[in-house]
Amino acid sequence: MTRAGYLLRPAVLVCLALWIINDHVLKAAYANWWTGKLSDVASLAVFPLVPYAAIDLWRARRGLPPPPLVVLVGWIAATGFVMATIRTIDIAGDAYRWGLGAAQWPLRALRAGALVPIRRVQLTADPTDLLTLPALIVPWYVIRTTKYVARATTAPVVRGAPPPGLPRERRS
Amino acid sequence: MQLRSLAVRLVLVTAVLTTVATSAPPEIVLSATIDATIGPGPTSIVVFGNRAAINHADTLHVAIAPRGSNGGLDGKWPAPDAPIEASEPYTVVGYVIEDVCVRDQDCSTMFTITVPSGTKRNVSLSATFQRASDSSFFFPDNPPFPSDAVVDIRIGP
Repeated sequence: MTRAGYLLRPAVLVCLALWIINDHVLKAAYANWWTGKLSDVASLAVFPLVPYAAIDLWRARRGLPPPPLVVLVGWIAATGFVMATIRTIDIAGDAYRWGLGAAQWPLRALRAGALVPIRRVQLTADPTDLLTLPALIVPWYVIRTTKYVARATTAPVVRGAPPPGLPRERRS
Repeated sequence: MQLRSLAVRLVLVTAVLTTVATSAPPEIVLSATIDATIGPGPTSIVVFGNRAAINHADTLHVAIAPRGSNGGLDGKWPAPDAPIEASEPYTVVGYVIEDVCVRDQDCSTMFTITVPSGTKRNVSLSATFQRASDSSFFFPDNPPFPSDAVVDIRIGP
């Protein structure tokens, strides 16, 4: 089984494609309430899997099992918390605008070939965006139904021979 | 298996770049804010942008915010003859520039707001021209407004 193979699950690929198409095509063509919400749903469905998969791949290089589910739960909770606060608390919204602007800065400087100033990013503080929070169930569902992750994170791998009287584990 | 592993990394990189680079383009705005007293009854608000400030792919947002204890406006924004992107219960209304301004000309557009209770209200009024998002795939970056661009908001006649 490919490590972080859950990123190739149809639900993830569809949400990532929706996110990209919505940001680059639909918002420009039909900017409205629905396109705003579609981005939020798609990003919430995909984002928590990104750091989780990065950690998973990092651990795979060191011969370690997939990260425990609590790591994913942490990223889901953090994503939901950030989503909720930037939409409802001014200072959190500004922190997000400047924080993501700073994260974008290296790419913009690289593209411009110069030390361009850091710019805030656009963010519409619309509390109705919180209606999209249930989309956070998607990454949870994806990981829970990925058998090798669920097995690795619920039953510790015991190396060596099983105790006497127990059948030898079949390895896949 | 090798191909699948490559596909995983490709999806991961695409997701990271989508998150960081394209999910929220840089904010490029030109705005003006005034403190004003509006009401009783209908009050006209005039927003002006000179030719340099007008780009027909941009949007114009007009915002009203209560100021001091005499705030608390909760009325509707009657719109000019243009589609409204957002309306009640928010105090910000947005318009596509193309719908409220004529191409290649200075633009002056008027909005009217009515204080429901017939009393005066102290408010902050702001008009913001916002550049449209560049849909370049990984590096959305719009040119800033030219230095001679001007935006103004005032209580109208």
